[in-house]
Amino acid sequence: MKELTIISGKGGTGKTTVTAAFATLAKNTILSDCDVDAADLHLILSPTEISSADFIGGRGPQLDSEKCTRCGECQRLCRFDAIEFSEESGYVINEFACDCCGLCALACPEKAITMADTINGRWFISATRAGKMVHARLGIGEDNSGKLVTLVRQQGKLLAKNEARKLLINDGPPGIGCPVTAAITGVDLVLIVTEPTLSGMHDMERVHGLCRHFDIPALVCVNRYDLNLINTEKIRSYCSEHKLPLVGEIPLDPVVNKAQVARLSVVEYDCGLVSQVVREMWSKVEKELNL
Amino acid sequence: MTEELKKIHEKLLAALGSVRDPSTGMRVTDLPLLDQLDIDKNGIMITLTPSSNVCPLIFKLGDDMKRAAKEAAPDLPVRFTINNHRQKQEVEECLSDS
Amino acid sequence: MIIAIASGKGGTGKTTIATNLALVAPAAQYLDCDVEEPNGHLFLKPEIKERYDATMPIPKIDEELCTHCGQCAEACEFNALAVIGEKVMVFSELCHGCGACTFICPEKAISETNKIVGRLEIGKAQTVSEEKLIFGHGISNIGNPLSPPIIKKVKKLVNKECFTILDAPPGTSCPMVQTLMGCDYCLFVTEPTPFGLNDLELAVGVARQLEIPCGILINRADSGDDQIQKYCQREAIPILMEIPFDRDLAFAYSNGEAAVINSESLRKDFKDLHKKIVAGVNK
Repeated sequence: MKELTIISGKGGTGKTTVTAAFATLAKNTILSDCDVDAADLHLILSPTEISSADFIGGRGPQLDSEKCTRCGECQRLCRFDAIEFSEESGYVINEFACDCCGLCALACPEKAITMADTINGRWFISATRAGKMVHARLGIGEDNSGKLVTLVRQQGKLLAKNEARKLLINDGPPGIGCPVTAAITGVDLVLIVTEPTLSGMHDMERVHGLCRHFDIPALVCVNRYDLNLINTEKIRSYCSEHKLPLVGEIPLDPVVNKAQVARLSVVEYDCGLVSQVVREMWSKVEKELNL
Repeated sequence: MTEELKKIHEKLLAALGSVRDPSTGMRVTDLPLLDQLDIDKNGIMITLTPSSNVCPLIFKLGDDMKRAAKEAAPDLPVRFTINNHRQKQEVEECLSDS
Repeated sequence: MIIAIASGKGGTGKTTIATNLALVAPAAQYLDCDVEEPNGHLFLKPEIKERYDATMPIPKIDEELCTHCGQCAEACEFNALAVIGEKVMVFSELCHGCGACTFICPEKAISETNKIVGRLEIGKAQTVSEEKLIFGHGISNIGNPLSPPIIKKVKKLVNKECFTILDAPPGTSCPMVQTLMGCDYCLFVTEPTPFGLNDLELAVGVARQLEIPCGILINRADSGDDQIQKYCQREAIPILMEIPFDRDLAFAYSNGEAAVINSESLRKDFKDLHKKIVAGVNK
């Protein structure tokens, strides 16, 4: 089984648009939405839930105010400013600031703070017209997104194995932090979707740096290439210099939004040249993956 | 495999099944982690493919699996083969009984 | 006053709005909290006066004192320490710098050492007036997994005398929440598409949990459907500004140009936006 992850560095360059298109072109595939913070792939693929389960990301502190003697040791030691005090409520843990490190629980002389499993979100296996999809929803403001991404990918791999599928396509998250790392390590290929803007190019270089850091082969495509032809030329030079195959240059076309509003991928909805370029891109990606 | 070894193998699987993969929070048996579990009179060989090929949590996972294996079969040495991890050798050396 | 510019969905225009607002607002400070992919500096072109390392404390084991009892590994919620036989291993990439291991070690064998995870840069930038803008950003090192420790350090740069604009990272998890905590107002920048609306709802959820008043700016407002407006009406969230798609503006953006520099009318629009935000805070 082969694995492909689509990332960008900068958000909004078109990862999910490309993933959805590839999903609807590819045969024998499992899909996963690794952008667990702000998952969007389901908006195009309209999944029907088969199963779901809670995601327990770790443990979090529970403060028993009955046992608390208000000594303040927890607040003194907490490095995350997560323990607040008021006369009426005493010591209270701010769950948004809390890092769930457990130091307060270890330090409390009255054992008034205990650590318990926390449900940080939920993950799903669903059926879509493009194949089965693993996706998740991280709770609002929750942590452990890297862990949830790893879980989603692992479940994707398990599904692919059990159903003898040849390919797992992962819709990646933006940035270069833990969730992106979790989405790309060990995959066969990464596709970086960029755009010909200074921000897009700056971020592409950083995420390419991340791929090199982990020794992962990458391809590039430029979305909205005709927005700035000089910048597109700069991207071509960068790719050439770094021996990065440039597999597609998608034109800027408002019809792409129409496809999204219609809940269709850009190859299902007639997007003219955009559809053509994306189909050609998919052929090239298939070849690179040796499918 | 002898009857005795078969029983230990079953006990081992049950014990390993309760170990949680620290990279995902899920039980080892609910993931495509455990590639093979071999047992003979000389010892136990656990072959696994960790959730991430770079994450050092493989040490914790391996250690937890070893403890579970020791509870199920205290007298047998435990060895590991790690598939697809950049610290494969270090992990195998660190965790395997000589 | 501290304002966060966030979105949920990436690419809606947070940095565009944050930088243009910073260039026209009086007594402004711009802090880029998107430490994984900071872009504000491309538009503001600040003169950097100070650069320093962003560090995080990680444990250092004194092998002479260590008895390999394993309590540090047991205490660590992130499995950043492992005691296997006579070997203590520290996995700094998993460490959150919480100090639990240092605290629990019965032999006092654990001290802390600083690990460089990124850098901070501070400077000043030219605005549309005589006044200079105070600039700051954090840059996470490639391969560093955690952004919140660096975001915290960026936020420590907040100057209480200023109208401080925090350019938030995308998403709705820890890095975005870390940025929004303690803000007086959050302006959500969105786009009129199903993706935009989906992520906006999640992001507004965060602001509500944090009890931060918020307003919406719809970017490329004529390029999708009307679901965002309907959502804002239902949820009684004020729409402070709508910017239609403008290919010339998009081109200028692609070259790292801040739109207000060359457009009198946009300068006025962003000054109005500033007034509306201040009114939103004072309400």
